This record gives sequence, C-alpha cells and structure tokens, in this order.
Amino acid sequence: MSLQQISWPLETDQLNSLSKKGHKGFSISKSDFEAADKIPDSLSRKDILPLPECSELTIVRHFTRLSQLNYSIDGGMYPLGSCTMKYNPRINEVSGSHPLFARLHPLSPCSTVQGALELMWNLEGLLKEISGFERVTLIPAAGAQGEYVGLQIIRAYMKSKGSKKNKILIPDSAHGTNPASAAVCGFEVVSLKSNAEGLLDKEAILKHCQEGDVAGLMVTNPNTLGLFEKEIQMICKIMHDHDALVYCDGANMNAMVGLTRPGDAGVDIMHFNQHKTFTTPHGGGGPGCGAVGVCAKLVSFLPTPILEKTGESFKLNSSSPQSIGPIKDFQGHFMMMLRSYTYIRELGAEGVAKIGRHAVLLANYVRVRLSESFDLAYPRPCMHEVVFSDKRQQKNGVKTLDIAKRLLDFGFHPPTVYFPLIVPGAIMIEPTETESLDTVEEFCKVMEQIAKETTEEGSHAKYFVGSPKTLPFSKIDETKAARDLKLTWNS
Amino acid sequence: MRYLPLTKDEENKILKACGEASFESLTREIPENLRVKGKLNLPEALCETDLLQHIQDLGEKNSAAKMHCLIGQGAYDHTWPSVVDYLVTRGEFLTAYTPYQPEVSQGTLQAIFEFQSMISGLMGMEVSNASLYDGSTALVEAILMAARLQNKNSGEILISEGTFDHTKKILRTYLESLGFELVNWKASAEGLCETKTPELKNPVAVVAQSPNKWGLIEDWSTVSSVAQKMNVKSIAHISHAHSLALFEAPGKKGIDLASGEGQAFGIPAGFGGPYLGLFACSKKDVRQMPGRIVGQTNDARGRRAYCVTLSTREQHIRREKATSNICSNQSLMALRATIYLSLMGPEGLKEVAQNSRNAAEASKKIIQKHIQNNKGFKFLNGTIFNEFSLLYTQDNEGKINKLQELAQKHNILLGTKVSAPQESGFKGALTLAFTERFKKTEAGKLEKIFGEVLV
Amino acid sequence: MSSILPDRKYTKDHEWASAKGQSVTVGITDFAQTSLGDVTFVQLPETGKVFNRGEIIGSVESVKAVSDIYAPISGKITKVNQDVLNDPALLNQDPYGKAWLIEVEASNAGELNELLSPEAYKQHAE
Repeated sequence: MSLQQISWPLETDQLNSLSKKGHKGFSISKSDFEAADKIPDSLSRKDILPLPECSELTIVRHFTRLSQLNYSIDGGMYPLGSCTMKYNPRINEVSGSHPLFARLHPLSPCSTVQGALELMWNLEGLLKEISGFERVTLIPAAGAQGEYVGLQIIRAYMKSKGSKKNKILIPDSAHGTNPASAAVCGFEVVSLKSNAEGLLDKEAILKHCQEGDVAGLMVTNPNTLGLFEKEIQMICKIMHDHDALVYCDGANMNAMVGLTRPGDAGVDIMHFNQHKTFTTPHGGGGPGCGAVGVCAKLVSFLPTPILEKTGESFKLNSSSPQSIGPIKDFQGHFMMMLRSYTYIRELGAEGVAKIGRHAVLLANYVRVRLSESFDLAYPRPCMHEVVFSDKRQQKNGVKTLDIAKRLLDFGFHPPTVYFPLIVPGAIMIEPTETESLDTVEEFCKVMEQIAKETTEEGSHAKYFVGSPKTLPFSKIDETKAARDLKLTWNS
Repeated sequence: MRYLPLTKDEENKILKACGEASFESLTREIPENLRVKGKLNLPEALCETDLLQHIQDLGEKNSAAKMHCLIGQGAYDHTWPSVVDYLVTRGEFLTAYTPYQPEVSQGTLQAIFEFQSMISGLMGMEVSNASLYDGSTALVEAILMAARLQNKNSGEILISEGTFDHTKKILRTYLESLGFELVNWKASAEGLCETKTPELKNPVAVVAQSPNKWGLIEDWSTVSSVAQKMNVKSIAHISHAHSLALFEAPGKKGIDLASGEGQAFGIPAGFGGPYLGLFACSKKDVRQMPGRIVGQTNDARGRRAYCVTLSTREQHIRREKATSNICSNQSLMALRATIYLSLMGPEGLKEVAQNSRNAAEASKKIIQKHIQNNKGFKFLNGTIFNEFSLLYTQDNEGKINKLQELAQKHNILLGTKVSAPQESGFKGALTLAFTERFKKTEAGKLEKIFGEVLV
Repeated sequence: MSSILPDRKYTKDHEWASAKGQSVTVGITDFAQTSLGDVTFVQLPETGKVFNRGEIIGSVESVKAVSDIYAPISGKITKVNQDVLNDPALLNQDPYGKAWLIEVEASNAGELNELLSPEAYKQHAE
C-alpha cells in the first residue's frame, strides 16, 4: 500500500449539486396545535422551495471546506492599510452571543431590558471619553451609514439656521465612500487637492468657504496617507468662522486612540468603525457598527431612538423634535455593541492608552525597514499606516499588483493597493497593534525579498507571472465574471 | 496585555530604529495642546473572569430574557440548529476581510453566491445581491433603484398603510431630503391593499409590505397591477422571510423589485441587530442594483471560482456617482442564513413556517372565545401567517394594557400596540407573533390571561 | 504605443470622430481602451437622442474602472452599434473599426474643426 498525497478536490461542489431527495438537516418537534386552515389558492406557494436537501454532516463538511479556502486574521497577518485588521478576541464572541441578550426583542418594554440599555449607556460613555464628543449614537449599522447620519446632521443644522448651503469639501485622498455618502444626502461634492505634504490645503479651504455655500468638510484624520492633519485645529476654526461644520471620517481612529481626541481639536462629528477600532469581527465584509459622536451644539439632531437615563433607569425615546429621524430598524447592531464594549472593558484605561501608541510604533517600524527597498510616498514619520509605491520596481517591469499577488506565495495577505488614488501604484501598509514585532519583521523580510527579486534580470517572468502559484486557486478571471454574468446556480 | 504584545524593550528598539528619542518626538505632528495628558478617564482593566461576570450581571437585569416573546413587527423569536453557530464562528469566516482578493476569499465568495441563489429563488426573482443592512434600509434602496430605473429624481412613492410604522419613518428620513414624497395607500377596513388609489402627479413606485403590520398577507397581483396601471415600478417588501415558504413569491406575480428582512433565517433577535436586508430584482436591471454582488467565473487553471463583480456600481470606484454609499454587506448574517436554509431544506423551512402559523391560528381561536359578542374587539378577516392583530376601541385600551401587564407576570411579552386600519373605525391593534417555540404550556397561559381580563 | 489614425479628429477625453457629410461616426481611441483594460460593459444612448457637445452620452467599463463618454459634437443619434453592446471585448480588439460606438447627425458641423488633429492628440496622449 502506498501513501497518497491528499489533494483538494478540483471543484468545491455547489450546494444544489449535493442535494439528495429525502435528506434532512433539521430537527423540529411536531406542532402542538391542529393544522391551520388551508391557505387560499390565490395566495399560496406551489413550487418546491429552491433549497438543497442535505444531511447535517454534508452541510458541516461543505462549509468547513469553504472556510478553509479563506485567508483570515486567525490564520495570518493582514497588512491592509486603512482596514485595521486587528485580532478579534474570542471573548467578544462569548459575550456577543450571550443568551441573556441574544433573544431580546428590540421592541421589548424598556423596563424589561435594563441590562441591555445600561450596556449601551456605558459603551457610549467609553466612546465619549475616548473621542471627546458630547454624545455618541450607537445606531448606525456601519461606517458608511455613520457618514450618512453625519451628513444628515449637517443638513439639519444648516436648515435650523435657515441656511441653504449645499457644498461639501472632500480631499482627493479620501475614501470613495465620502463623496458617495454626500451625494446620497443630496450635497454637491467639491474635491480638494492635497498640498505638497499630502495634507489638507488650508488656503484652498478658506477660499471655498469665502464663496459662502460650503456646509461642511469631510476629513479623514490621520489621512489615508497615514499622516496626521497637523493643522486640524486651524482648519476647524476656518470652517466654524464661516458657519460650516467639520466631519471626521473615523476610519483611521485607531491611530488616535489614547493619544489625541478629535473632539478636542474642534471636529463636530465623527463616526467610529467598531470593527476596526474596537475589534468586532470583520466577518468577510460585515456586519459593522458605525457609532457617531457629535459636539454639544449638534446633540438635538441625533437620530432616534435616543437613549436616556433618569435616576438609575434607562429608556429609549423616539420623539425628539429636531432629530434627523430614525435611520435603520430599531436601535442598531446591539450584538456588535456588546462585543466592542467587552473589548474596551478588558483593556481598561491602561490598555486603551496603548492602542494608538503601539499601532503607530509598528507602522513606523515598517516605514524605516522598507524605505530602503521601496519608494516612500511622503518621507516623514507616519501614524498607524505607511504608503509606499512601486516607483522603483516599475523600472524592472514589476507593478504593485504583481507585488501584491507575489506576497500570497509567501503566505501573507497583500496590503491595500492603488489607494489612495493620489499616489500612483500605492502600496499601503497597516500592521495594527495586535501583531507582534516578530510577525511584522517577518512580513518586512518577505517584502524585502520580493523587492530583491525585482532587481534580477527577467524577474517579471521568473517570479511574478502566474502568481499566486502556491494556493488552491490561481489568478481569478474577473473580466469573465463581469462579461458573462452568472450570479446564481440557475443563471 | 494579552492582545497588545509589544514590550517596553521592543518599543525602545523601534524608536531607536526610527532615530527618535521618544514616542512624543516620533508623533511630533500631533500639536502639544491636543495630546491626551496621562490616562483617559476610563474604568480599570477587567480580567476574563471578572469581565464575563460583569456581562452576566448586566444580562441578569434583562427580565425579558426569561420571558416568552410574542412581539413581532419585524423581529421573530425562531430557533435554529446549533451547528449554525458552530460554523459561522469558525475563525476563517469570522475573521476574514471583505473578499476583494478573490484568490484567498473563495470560501466567503462561494457562500455569498449560494446565498444569492437561494434568496433569488425564494423571492422568485432572477438575481439577488449579497445583502444590505436590514429590511427597512433595503426597502429604501429598492425605492431609490426604482427611481434610477425611470430616470426620476423626485416624485411620489405610493406606500401601503400596512407597512410597518417604523419602516415608514425610516423611508421618510432617507427619501424626503432627496425630494421624494411618501403618499399613503389607504388599506381597506379589513387592512389590505385595494385597487383604489389616490390621484398622483408624478408617481415613481408602488410599495407594499407582506405580511403587513397587522400580520395579513397581501396579494402581490393587486400591487403589481396598480403599478402597471400607473406605469411605474412595483416593490414588494417581505417583512418575515419564512412567509416565503408558504405564500407565493413576489417575482411570480409581476413584481419588479423585492426587498425584505431575513432575520428569521437563523439570526437572533439580539435587541435589534445585526439583521439581514434582502434584495432581489430581474437580471436586466442588475446594473442599477445597490450593494455587493458575487459572480461565478474561473481561475487561470480553469477551476470554477467566484469574485465580487459589477464593482463599477460601487462607491470605491464611482465615488459620488455610485448606486449607493454602502461599502459592506451583512456577510456573517448572510452566511448564517445560507447555512440555516441549507440545513432546513424545502421541507424543514415549510415545517417551521407551518408550525408558526398553526400556533398563531390556535391562539386566535383561544382569544376569539373571549371577545365573542364584544363589539369593542375584532379580528381582521384576511389570511395571516404567524402574526395577527386584535383591534380594540378607545374604551378598551385600558384592557389591552391590563392584558400586557398580567402577561408579564406570567412571563409572556404580549405583543405590541400599533394603529388600526384607518377605515376600520378602531383605535388600535394589539399585534401578536408566534413561532415554533410557542407550545401548549404558553397557550394555556394565554387562555388564563385573556380569561382573567376579558370576563 | 497606442495607435492614432490620420483620417479622423480627436478629443482630449479620448474620443474620435470621423465625418462623412453631415453624418459623424464616434468612438473611443486605442489609448482609451488600453488604459481601461479589458472592457466588460458599454452603455450607449438610444437612437434619436439629441445632445450638446461635451455632454455625457454613455460609459465604458472594465473590471475596476469606468469612464464616461463625452459627445465630441452636438447633434442627434442616428445609429448605435449593437455589436459592441453585445460584445464589449470588440473595443479592445478594434476601437477604430468594428467597435465604433454611435453615428450622429451633426447640428453644427463647424464644431468638427475645433477638435484635435491626429498630431495634436498624439501630443496630448503622451
């Protein structure tokens, strides 16, 4: 008998092809009640439901195999800039599925859910202290919805002042979500060019404000180049002097935690990405939780329901005359709040103080280690992330995308590439504070190795063509997917 | 600190490598007056044992956690196989990034593809997206898509009176600031959509929800024919995903766009979320569909594979011209639903739905005995799924309150009060929702509660 | 290097226009299709639509980019190339020939003279 190498099946079967008539994956008790009257013919469904029939083991195996085709934080480091892929502690999942919270109906009378409301109140308190805002709403479902809420608050504030200002300034280095959110709120987007240092251009902002129709500025701080907007106070002042508001995209809040507070700088509104800063799981793309903090003058515009405390009791209030109104079903992604609350309470004051500090230190380590091999877009100390480009490697015909796919051969997830748009061939790296220095060092070594490969004669063909080569899947044909749309089993 | 491994020595090593004397000099771009001085005013760290005890202590303050919940209105207390929790908490799913690098995200991608396949099938439509935040925001997106399909950026949205009140308020937040107007499509005295509609100047879409807020099943043919007459898009909103197991799919009755809430598919009520927004439409309109979409393709070696496709609709490419500002989907919740549906299969899903319906109809009969010959109460006579409404007159509101109070003493959360159909002449409606969790024991309590209050 | 044909006019936004009497054929340049990469979708206006020079009349998409098409001249659409709508890959293969996009009845033929010559476009594209 000879041992055979175990190989992955060439195809992972689609669920519908695993279906066998009569197989079952459920166990439900018989109804205690007599069968209800027949549904009228005009309303009833007649087809066999388009679902597979499988035993539990078939399903367990199917999804276990699928899971094994994913890269994950549990499996390795994600140096993805602007994504803050830090470790998701398992204790979060214990509290985040706790039976004393998991089955609570969102419309339960407030008197019966005091523990859940107290937790929300506590979490808001923690976020207020960390960010320096007057109040924080926990309702928004994700960062993008947080932006939406922030912009609606700007609109409501302007309306309350009798102002018809309709322009939002957005730097060219911003995430695409910023202009998309502004457009969804009916604002006109004005793009701001970054200055030579990669920062906001104070004079340009002043000039736009003087035209009199600017309602707000959306700023990411630190910006997407990983640079702290050192003139943020001055910029906030210019905006306020012109009766305009400052919205901070909190996507990069991780860099500031424990070091500086956006509310203190004069920022009026900011959303948090709980999955980035406070370790709720990324989950392959969601769900998120995008709490929004506001300064004192904007509190009355927050979305409903508003959490209130009287004595020792808590309630949700749905009537608030100046509020922008409700923005999603019920009071938000409560089970995600439970997770980020757990995280912050475990870290406590001492741990929270280290979040930004360690994130910044590790990013700067990557900056100095790799600036010999790669072109640094802005040669200065960075905050929590650092942006390189493929400028040097291009000379040998190797581009950022090649480097990204080559990293996969070495077992690392690629960094964020081609973003921000203002750095051609950008390679954006964010190690996060939960990685050890040894892991970050290992990543740097691999990046150096790849940089070295690019200097060899004919390196593109030798190392880069056809990468990734060591994974169950080689390069995916995204063009075919877009040209011949196949979006379901049956199409 | 177990999550933050950097030691003091390593901190110094990094500072040295950077040629900086201190952390403050490394971060000199933060103005001095903006620096946090000392520690923030936060509670001290908790060790694992104390932390879990603290969460437990907070949980104990939720008396609702130990009650049987008959509240519905968009969130339902169904059961699910434990293997759902086991599979979704695998680290490879739980801690994976958005699947933008398809070569290392095939697990998430294929699961989404299967989600799209099952949801579009259940909706009776050709395509589905990878999910949106929740039911109400999915409906917002459906209305905006209907407007885009007709190149309209203002106009009237005719919306059924039977749509949840909270959903209508959310629609108002989103749509009124963009120049759309919500117009009430009055229900019949029995709480259902009628072919009679108000005069509209510039209609954009006709929207109805089923099961509606009184628990009644709407006939999609009525909705689609009214929309056709106005020459606008029809939108079906499914408030309880299990209803699709028993009632005709909207796509089979001429509906253009479907949205819905998928929480009932294996997702805990969780005091409000995260839930699962469903969205389906026909293939010809897919380029106007909001949200992430996964398509099937091949890898370079010809192996079947998947990737995010039609990304040019999305915010990271289109910026202010994107179809929506949404960057995420409810990926883990979509995964829960996918696993739940594949375990239940066609029979299991029908059985859960049927059990829930049986429980609701049986409870209706129990209550019926106590309101007979009492003109102050009434049931609507349409077809229900798992939720129904007890209409009451102004005089009887006190009795409803009493019923709810007494029920709490028996560890039952006895539904929610909403407005009654305007044409019905009643003041309000107590809505009660039932799932397969409702058994004889609870039915006995219901009998007792109503018997005691409505003598 | 991408090719530029001598027999037509160009815009700074990388469209080309070729006139036969009042009828003008419009497409996108070889440079445009190369920068986009594999084209996956083309959106064009319907026949009969009237527009002004500089207005957005459609778009061309690849997997990760989308580019608007601007009208090089004012006029009315008389013909739309169905082949390129059905098979967007044509744009990568033959942008100046089979993958023409629309035919326009020009309302102001004088506008043609204001477009870039092949030489001027060559300089612009570099």
